[in-house]
Amino acid sequence: MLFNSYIFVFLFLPLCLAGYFILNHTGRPRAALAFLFGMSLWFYGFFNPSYLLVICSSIAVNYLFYMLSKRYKRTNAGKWLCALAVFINLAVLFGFKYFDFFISNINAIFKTEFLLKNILLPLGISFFTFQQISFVVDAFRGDVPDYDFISYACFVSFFPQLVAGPIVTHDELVPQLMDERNKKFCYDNFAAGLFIFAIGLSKKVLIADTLGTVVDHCFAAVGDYRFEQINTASAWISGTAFTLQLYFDFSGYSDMAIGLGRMFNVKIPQNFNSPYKAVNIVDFWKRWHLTLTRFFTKYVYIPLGGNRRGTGRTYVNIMLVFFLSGLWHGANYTFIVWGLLHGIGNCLTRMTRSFWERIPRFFGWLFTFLYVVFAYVFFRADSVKDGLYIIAKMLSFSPGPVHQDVLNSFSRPELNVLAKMLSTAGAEQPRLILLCAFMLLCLFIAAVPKNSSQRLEGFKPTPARSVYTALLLAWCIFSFAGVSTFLYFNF
Amino acid sequence: MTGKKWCILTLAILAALLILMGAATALIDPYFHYHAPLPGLAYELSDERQRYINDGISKHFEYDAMLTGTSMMENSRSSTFDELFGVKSVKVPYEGSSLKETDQNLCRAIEANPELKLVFRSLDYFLIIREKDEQLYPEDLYPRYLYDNNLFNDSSYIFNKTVLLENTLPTIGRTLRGEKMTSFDDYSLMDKSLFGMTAPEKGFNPPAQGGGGATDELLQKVEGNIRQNVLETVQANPQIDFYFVISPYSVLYWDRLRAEGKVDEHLDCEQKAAELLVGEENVHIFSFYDCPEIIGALEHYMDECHYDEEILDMIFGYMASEEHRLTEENCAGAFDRARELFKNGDLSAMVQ
Repeated sequence: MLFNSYIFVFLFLPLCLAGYFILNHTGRPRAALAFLFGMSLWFYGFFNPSYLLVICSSIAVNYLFYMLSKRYKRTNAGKWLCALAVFINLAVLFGFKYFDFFISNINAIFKTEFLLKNILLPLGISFFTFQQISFVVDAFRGDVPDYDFISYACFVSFFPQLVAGPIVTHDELVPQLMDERNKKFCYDNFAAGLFIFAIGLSKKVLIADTLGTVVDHCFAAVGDYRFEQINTASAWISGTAFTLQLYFDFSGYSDMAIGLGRMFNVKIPQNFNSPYKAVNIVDFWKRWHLTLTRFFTKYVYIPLGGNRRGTGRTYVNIMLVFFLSGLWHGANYTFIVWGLLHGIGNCLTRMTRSFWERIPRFFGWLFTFLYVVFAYVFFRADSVKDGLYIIAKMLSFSPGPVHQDVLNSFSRPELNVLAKMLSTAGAEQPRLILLCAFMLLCLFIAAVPKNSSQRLEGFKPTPARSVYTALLLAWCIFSFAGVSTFLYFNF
Repeated sequence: MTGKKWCILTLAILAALLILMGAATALIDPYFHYHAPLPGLAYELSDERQRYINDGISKHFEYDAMLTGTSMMENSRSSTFDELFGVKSVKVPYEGSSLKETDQNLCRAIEANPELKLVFRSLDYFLIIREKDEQLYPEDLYPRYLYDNNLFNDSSYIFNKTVLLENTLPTIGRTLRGEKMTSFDDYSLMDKSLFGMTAPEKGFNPPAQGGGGATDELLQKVEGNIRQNVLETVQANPQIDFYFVISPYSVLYWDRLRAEGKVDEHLDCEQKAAELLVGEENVHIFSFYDCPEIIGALEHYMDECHYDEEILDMIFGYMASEEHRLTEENCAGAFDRARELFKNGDLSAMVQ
């Protein structure tokens, strides 16, 4: 199920809230947790019930290891059991996400012809696998108190953060679910949650999906060899638009997760802290996907020695972390290249720290943003070759206007109305004007005002915010469905 | 303001907005999902919305005849058809639809309208040779929520800003400007400026005997497709007269096929389809390959295949008078003559 769907907004969420708080109110907190777990499973298995087998098995197996950790924590046997638990989790992730990538590489290197399995990737498997790895490692370190099965199951499956994070740790979530004070419906929390949910939803539906129209068109044009559509202008538009799209999409989901959690009196950690305000790459990674950075820092970087084993080893550790981060995002060399670029950027920034501290903030910001744009071209491209093509076009400064097909792809009903108005008013290139204006607006929103978490901290229920929230929600709900274009190709 | 008051106010405003905007679409109903067009409103029937409005037209309009098929019948004029056959028709074209899709829509129409007594349907070669269950567009493009009776999934229609901004509100705008509802004659009518093919400058290709006929596999595919997606509906509805036209592609098409050696393959498939249908009492099937005033009238063609409303008027005229109708007795002979014409005949002599 998606947050941006009618069934979620009109049926699932009201039902889930009502059931959870009514059961708590009638003195049945365990039933309330079981209900929440059941609803989360419905949410997860909505599009494909076979996903339920994966998540339920994952929860059961990891809880079993947790039970073993009660006896073997901080022992040698415990270390081996912990390693086994991590191995099993990673093996499942490997099987679903990386098996075909692995086989393709074997075939390419050794000229074999092993068949790909085309395994359907369960949604969110990367998130709940890492979440449970963090749990079992903490358990064998002796850092996990007593959790019953239903509390643990709710922690893993809690629907706000199940599919797209943030990667929440057990100590952040379980105590809140078990806290008696959180079992009563709280209007203040619901209000704040609804406010942030509306912001997140609009980031995703109104901004990210709109930017996605032109991004998808441009990257598909490269993939389909329609190179005449991609000159310097189009390449910059597609790279920058994707950089903005990814932020608004991902941070939008995180905002929705935070908002939904708040409705249930649960505080979910912040995942984005205005990353496009960063003034260098190290700063960027203190703002982007915070919970993933936290996971890799705690479970990979620090165990490898962090920065305590000399400069050279520090840089090796950083490169390894970013390599793994890239790989975590997807089974393609494009993600690995993206990760390595950020690793290189991170290392170089540390090496030239004094330079970054001296230059004016604006130049630091500009360079960082451009570096991020270039790296994200690989993140979005279907292949490294396509990514290099777009980068080459960006740097070639080949003249020419933005191709009309690229401009026409930037289409939404509101934009079509505005384009018509601009055209009537005499504008020659209404879509180009709208595209540039929209992207500048998005960049401004990402780089200048307070972010959602800061707005949440300062949230007060005012009439103006009420109207704003209702308007945003209404427009987002009306944007869930569109009208398809049946491109006619002669029968 | 307390959190409780804020929540109530916000949800109340949200509900009001949803009801207001949703009610506009539900009441005006630009896709006729709930009711026939409201009198006095200038609804637009747009070819971009065929798969959105055709089901509503089929279920809620008043008619006793239906013109349906692919782009090959988009230029048909309901007014001409109505006058010739003494009926009241609706036009429901589906650009690029498979036989299955057209048949499914037709079946829904038949179920919704017991008054239906006459159906005109184009049979296009490029679609009769497809797999019987093939769907030419991805499933997620189709607005299935408009084809069923499930009120819950109507949220995709009622709470849809594209419908609101591009259909609901413009209907009000058109009405206020004094415009009228799109007629079926104009619905999906192709731009006249696109028509006007000419004979090839280098001349037509010489006669050619090359190439073979349709393979057994292809003929089986055709048979499966026709049986499931045409014949079944014909046989299930003996009270309806079905008028089929084998779409008369222009001499330019046949000239190209002659050069490619595929005339026999094409005609074998069409003959197979015709023979499956021709014996049914409620079927009237027509072929116009011996009509130079149709297939040679190149100025009325947009490309090798698509013809304009004047060609279709002629086709309707012949149908009304039962000329060029295929029967069990003449079917084989008609296709043999077509083979001879398109393989060996003087195609240039057919150009009008």
